[in-house]
Parts: sequence; structure tokens; C-alpha cells
Amino acid sequence: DDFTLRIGAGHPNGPAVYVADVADFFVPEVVRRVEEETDHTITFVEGYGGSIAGVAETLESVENGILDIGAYCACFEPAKLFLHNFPYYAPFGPQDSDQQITAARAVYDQVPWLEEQFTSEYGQVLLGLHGWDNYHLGTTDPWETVDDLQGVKIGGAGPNLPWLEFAGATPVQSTLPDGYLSLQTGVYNGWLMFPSAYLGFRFYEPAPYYTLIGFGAMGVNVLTMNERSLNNLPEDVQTIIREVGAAYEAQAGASLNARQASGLTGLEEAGATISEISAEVRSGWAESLASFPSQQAAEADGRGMPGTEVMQAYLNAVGETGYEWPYEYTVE
Amino acid sequence: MGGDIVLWMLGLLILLILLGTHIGVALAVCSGLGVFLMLGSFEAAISILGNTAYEAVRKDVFVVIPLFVLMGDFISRSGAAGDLYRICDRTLKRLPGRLAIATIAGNTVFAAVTGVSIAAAAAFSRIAYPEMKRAGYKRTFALGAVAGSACLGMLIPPSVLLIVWAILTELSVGALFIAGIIPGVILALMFAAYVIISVAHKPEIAPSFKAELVPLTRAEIRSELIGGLGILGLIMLVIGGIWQGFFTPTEAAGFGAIGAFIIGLIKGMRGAEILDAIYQAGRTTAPIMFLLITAQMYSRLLAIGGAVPFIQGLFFNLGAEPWMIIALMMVIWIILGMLVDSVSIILLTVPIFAPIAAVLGIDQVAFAIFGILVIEAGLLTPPFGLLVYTVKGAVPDPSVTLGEIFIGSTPYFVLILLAALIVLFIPSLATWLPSIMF
Amino acid sequence: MGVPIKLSRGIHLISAFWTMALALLIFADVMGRQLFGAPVPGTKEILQNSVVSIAFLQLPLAIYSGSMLRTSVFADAVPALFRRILRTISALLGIGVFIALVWSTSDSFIDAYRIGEYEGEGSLRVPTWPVRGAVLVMSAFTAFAYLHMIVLDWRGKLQNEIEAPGAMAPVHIH
Ligand code: NA
Ligand code: NA
Repeated sequence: DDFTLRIGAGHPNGPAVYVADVADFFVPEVVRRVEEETDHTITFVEGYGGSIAGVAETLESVENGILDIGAYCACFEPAKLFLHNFPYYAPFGPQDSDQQITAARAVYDQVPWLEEQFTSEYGQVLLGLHGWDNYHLGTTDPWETVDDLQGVKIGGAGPNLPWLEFAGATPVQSTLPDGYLSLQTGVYNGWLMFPSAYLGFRFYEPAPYYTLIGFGAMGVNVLTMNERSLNNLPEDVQTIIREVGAAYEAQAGASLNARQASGLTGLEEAGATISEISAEVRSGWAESLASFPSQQAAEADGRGMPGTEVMQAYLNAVGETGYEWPYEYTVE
Repeated sequence: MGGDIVLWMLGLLILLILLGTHIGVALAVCSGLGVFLMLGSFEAAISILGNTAYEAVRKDVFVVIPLFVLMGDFISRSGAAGDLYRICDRTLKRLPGRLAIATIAGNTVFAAVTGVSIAAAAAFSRIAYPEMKRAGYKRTFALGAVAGSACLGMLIPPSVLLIVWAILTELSVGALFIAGIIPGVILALMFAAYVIISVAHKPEIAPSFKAELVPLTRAEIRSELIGGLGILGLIMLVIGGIWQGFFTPTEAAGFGAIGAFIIGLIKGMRGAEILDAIYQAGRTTAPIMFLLITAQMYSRLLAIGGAVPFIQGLFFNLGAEPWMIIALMMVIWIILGMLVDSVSIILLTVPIFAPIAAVLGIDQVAFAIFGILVIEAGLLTPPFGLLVYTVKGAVPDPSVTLGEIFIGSTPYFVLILLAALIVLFIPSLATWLPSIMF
Repeated sequence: MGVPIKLSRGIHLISAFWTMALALLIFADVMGRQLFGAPVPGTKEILQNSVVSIAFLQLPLAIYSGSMLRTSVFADAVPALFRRILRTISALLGIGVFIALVWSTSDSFIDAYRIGEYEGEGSLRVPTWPVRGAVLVMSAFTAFAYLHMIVLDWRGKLQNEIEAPGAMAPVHIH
């Protein structure tokens, strides 16, 4: 039989790596394997860039079956997926996306609550994790020390805004498509963004100073499938979809690392001024966030989520990858 | 399977619209029913309506619509717009159709302020149309000038459409902005030439003001200058503010509304009139916003129904004649332009069209300007032309019919398509400015 | 003028002044940013949530005053009774759409309230239930307005066949 599956994401295919990997890896791989290994075929109806559901609507659209499969960032569901944003709550973690995704996966394996929440509350099955590559800061003007950022307005989206508040900068909630004009007109003077998107959204034109801070890669994106849609498929097709989901996750780190590297090269070629902060500045910034992981863990605990357990598991998992934090966070 | 349902829903949509159903309601009904038939799920059908109602216009750029409508109302009711148009009429004595040209010029300038053509159409329906009507202009002619020239806003920076396009194709936003300037000015000149030629041909469609029997008193002249200069000052403030990096186009709308309010106060607007302007401006906004919301519902139906692979299929079956491919793109854009909003059209089609154009060897920047022009032309086509409905909703004259606006804007539709083809054949019109600046 | 029409005018007036207030908010935000480096926090959130709310607050009066956009090409050519039937069908479809909106929005409203759904982060967390609630309540009122229009229509009370009595009357301050 031929099965039609609707797959979508709120970001466009291109600048966002997790969407590009859905379009260029997950979709063709499922089509190929189902065709070759089963008596069935799969046809995908693809709706990226919000043409079926926006970034903040994808979880719900998968839940109620408008989408069969959706890729989205937990950062746009700050309330529903509060705890799935755990990498944001301990920044300056793994710079390497492969290490980051490995650590995130270890947490999911150790605390099954995370995966079960998708099914029990939102009627969907987690197929695989993805993420964002290493976050840095681009600004319209050059700066030297964290003190120079006092009161500077910096745009960002979602759970990374507190990183700025701790540093004394003024966070401005924004969205990527608004970024260009806002930087150009001075609504804010910087954006907290990984190089691939900084390049893709052309932020280097209004804000050419790109400073490598290394807030870390963030394994916070998920690929999920509506539970009923999955169960309605033949067993062998289900297996393939789950396996390709796992393969999507397995290749995510390398894919993000490649984008980080090409993003930095691209920014350099485009004429952005790239500099790096010193180890002391970095550890100082990380130390200013010392209370942040515990604070977020406590908030999650207060909402009936295993906050402390997840944060502790994450810190341990990062330790096991061999990564050394610029500042050793603890969760009490 | 999805494709059939999309076509059935298209038929139902046109039927409902012809029978006089509220357009927004017709769009919502077809979207909900279409999703229900495709997914077999009542829950999915109503939740696509609910989600879209909540999310579709929940972006700060959409604030420009109520704010520019409000600005238009203050400017028009205070008499300031009349002042400016009377000054134009007297100073440009020899120019045929000068109020229509003033409208086009005004829209060109306004285009440099706003990135949403619907906002421009709404504002000028309230500023320019009453003045042209008072001067005895033929209605279709006056309405066409307002609806047609509103398209300029998408071409001259800043423009929401160009930003979305740039993001999807990974082009430079700055370069695309600059690329739109020369084609935008050319299009404005083509509009003006059309006005001059048609009025020279048939002077009765655009009579000028009768010369005053009694010369204006000093007080009258002063009042007229305050109105005229006030508007010019307002425009300078708003444009200058954006280009100086003082505020964003969205914020400019807020300054525009406050500036217009101050002009109104100076021109003598008081309590009841101010209240009435605010009240009436509000009445214009909701129907337009509801159309935007429901147009997005319909665009989601298209996406879910697989309109994208359907379109791709058309191209695969089409052989390799470049002109046929371009013509098919134009047809698809114009048809979609009759049904859904411009941003959705770009989301649905540009990821398919831009790579094809690249294979055909068309410069990506020139192709973007070409595409924006064709999509904007679609906003003037029946049965749904969003700009035409916006003018209908905003014009302070209930006797105006949609038919009159469609007829009046047809020449502009043709000129926009002509400009699009000119850019396609002479891509340097779009690429030259960015190439010297970047 | 009936009570629902008066109510729709009152709500509309609130939303109209709300629009004016947004202009002032933008002014304060830009001035604060440019002159003192201190923007008004949460301006973007207020603007984007206001724009949805304003649109829905203005819908009932748009129905009562016959401002919803439609074409009358076909209706102009048929007898009055047929036109009235078409209007009724159109209003019934309107009722259907807005009841569907009430239905689906009430779910997301209750969810949003129950889990304390918000958007933004840090000092800029904004709860989503007020706007969802506004969409919910106003959709219910809009569905009622369509129903009311059918009643007024068959009782011969509509002016120019589209407008409820008093909906368009000028506003007075006393
Ligand atoms: Na513009
Ligand atoms: Na249209």
C-alpha cells in the first residue's frame, strides 16, 4: 500500500539544520528504505517554514493529527516542554554538537519521564533528537569585557535570554525573521546566535562583530510522530521510521558541527569581524550563572517535573563525555 | 487524494464567494471542511481553525494595519489631506490627472515607510479617495489609483515580503532591499505615465478644481499650509526615522498615528471628531484582519493537501522550454494571489521556484523582484484580490462596489506584470544597485 | 438599538482606544530606548498579543454594521426573498465557523490556563491564556451576532439589508 504522511516544521528548510536534515536525510531515507525493504511505499507531504504549523504550533499540530510528523525546538514550548530545555539551563557546556547530543541522549535514557511526557501528555512518540550548534554573540559594535555589555540591548529567542540578564545586558525577546531590521534600526544591538543562522539570516550585515563565546551546543530539538499515525502503519514500516529517526539523531551532531564550521568560514568570507573571548572572561560569565541550573531545577520540581534529577543527570552526562566546564555547576 | 479535495474546496470557495458569503467565512469553511475530508478528523479540522485564529496575526508587524488606518483617518478627517491635494492641484496646474499622480507619488513615498501593502491601501483609501471624489474624478479611475499603487510598498524597502524571500533563498536582505528600488521607481513612473496618457485622452475622468472665485484669505492660506506642510513633515519624520535607524517600520506606524493626531489637533479637531475618527478607524480593521487570518487557514489547507508536490509535478511534466516554465510560474502566482496572502504564497512556492529559476540561469535577485511583482499583481485579481477587498473595506463610501475597484485596477495589474517582465529581461535593473553597494 | 448591539459598540470603542494606546506605547518605547537606553520592557509581547485581541474585539460590530467583506455581484441580480435566503445561509456558515472557533479555542484556553502556558523567558514571560480567552469569548459573541442578524433580517429590521439598527450611528460623548 501507499501511505501518505504529512511532515512539517516551523523553520524553513535551509538556514535551520534540524529542518534541512529532515528534508534531505529523514524524508528520502524513509522513502528509500520503505520502498526497498517492504511491500509498501510512503509519500510525504512536506510543509516547512510554517506553511502548515509555526514553530510554536508544531507540538500541538502533531498532537491533534494535522501533522503526522513534526520537527520543533523545545525552546518554543517553554511551558509544555520546560524541562526538555535542560541544556539551556547549564550553558557553557559541550562546544561540540556531537558531544552535546550524546549527553542529551544519555539524560533521556536515564530519565524516561522526558520521553514518556511526549506520549502521555501530547499523544506523540519521540523519534529522535537534534539541536542547535554552538551559540555565540554577534553585535553591531565591538566590545572587550562583559562590563561593556552592561545595559546593551541584545535580542534572543527563548530560554537563552537569562544568560544575558545574568551578564547585565538587556534581553529583548525577538524572532529570527525580525532580527535583521531590528539590528539595522537599533531596536537591539546584538543577537545570541549560532554561526549557521547568523550567516543564513544575514545578521552580519547590520551586526558585523561576531564574538566566539561558546555558550555551547544545545540538544533541544525533537522529531516526533503522532502516536495513532505511527500505530496505523504496518509493523515493518513502523520499525523503519523509528530506525531512521534514530539515524537522524545519530547524524545530527556531525551535521551541526559541519554547519558550525561552514558558518564561521562563511561569516569570515562575508567580512564579519570574528574574535574570541579569553578563558577568564568565559569562566567569569559561566560563574555569574552559578545559581541558574539549581534555580531552573527547583522551578521544574515545583511544577511536578523531575527537575533536579534531570539537571544532575545532565551535568554527569557532560562529565562523562570528557568535556571540562569553564565553571563546575552543581545542583543541590 | 489531497489534490482532488483541494480542487473541490476551490470550487466551493468560489461558489460561496459569488453567493455573497462573507469572504473570511467562506475561506474558513472551505479550510475546515477540506482538512476534515482529507484527514477524516473533526478534531484536526477545528483545531486548524483555532490555531490559525490565534497565531496568524499574532506578530507585531501586523500592528501597522490598525495604526496606519488610524493615521489615515486623522489625516483625512482633519482636512489636512484635502489641503495637500489642493496645493498639488494648484501647483501642478498643467499636469493631467494630478490628484491621481499625487496619490501614486504619495504611495511611493509611503512605500518607503511601510512593508505591508494592505496598510498602504487602507491608509490611502481614507486619505486620497475622498479628495479625488470631491474633485469629480471618475470613481473607477480614482479607486484604481489607490489599489494599484499600494503594490509599491512591497518593492521599495522595507518590505516584509522581501525579508521572507531572502530568508528562504539565503539571499542578502540588504541587497534585495536595494534591488527593489529601481524597479519600484520605474513602476511608479509607469503608473504616472498611464494616468497622464489616459487623462489626456479623456479629460472628463479627472477634472481639476475650479479656480476659486474669491481669492483665499490669509487665514485660509495659513490653514492650508499647516495641513500640507504637516503631512510632509510627518512623512519626513517617519521615513527619516527609519532610514536614520531611529525606529523600525512597525514603530513608524505608531509615530505616524501620533503625528497625524497632532496635525488633527492643530487643524482644529476636537473631542467628538477625534472620538469618531478613532471609532471609525477601528471599524475598518477587523474585517481586514479577519481576511488575513482566514487566508492563512486556506494556505494551510493548500499545504496539507499537497499543493507543493502538485506544483512540482506540473513542472516535471512540462519539458524544458524556459518561457513555458516562467509562464507557468506566473500563472500559479496569480492564481494563488487570488486566494491567499502574499507571505503564504512565498512560503508555498519560493522553495520550489527559486532553484528552478537558478537552473534556467536567471539571476536570483532579479528573480526575487520579478516574483514579488507578479505576486502583488495577484492581489488585484478577482475573485478574492486582497488589496481590492482592503480598499473596499477602508473607503469611506459605502456605494463603492468591488467591481468598480477591480475594473479600475486592471490597468495597474497589466502594468505590474509588464514591469515584472521588464525586470526579467533586463535583470540589471534589479542587480545593478546592489552590485555597486555590496 | 438592542442590548447586544450596544455591547458590541462598547467593546469596539474599548478596542479602538486600545489601538491609540498602542501608538502611545510605541512612542514611549522608542523614546525610552533612544534617549535613555531603556526601552519599555515587554513592548513586543504587548503589541503582538494586542493585535489579535483587537481584531477579535471588533468582530461583532463588524457583523452588525455590515462591514464584513463580501461581493454582491450575484445577490444584486436576484429577487429580495432569494437575497434574504442567501444572507441567512451566509450567516449560518458564519455561526458554524465561530462555533468551531469556540470549540477548539476553549480546549487550548483551558490547557493554557491549567499548565500556566506562557511564552518568552526570563523577565519577559507572558501568559497566553488572556489572549486565548479573548478569542474564545469574542468568537462566542460573534457567533451570537450572526444569529441575531438572522433574526433581525427575518423581522425586517435591517437597514440596506446589511446593517443592524443603530450599529453605524455616530458616537456621542456626554
Ligand atoms: Na516598503
Ligand atoms: Na489575493
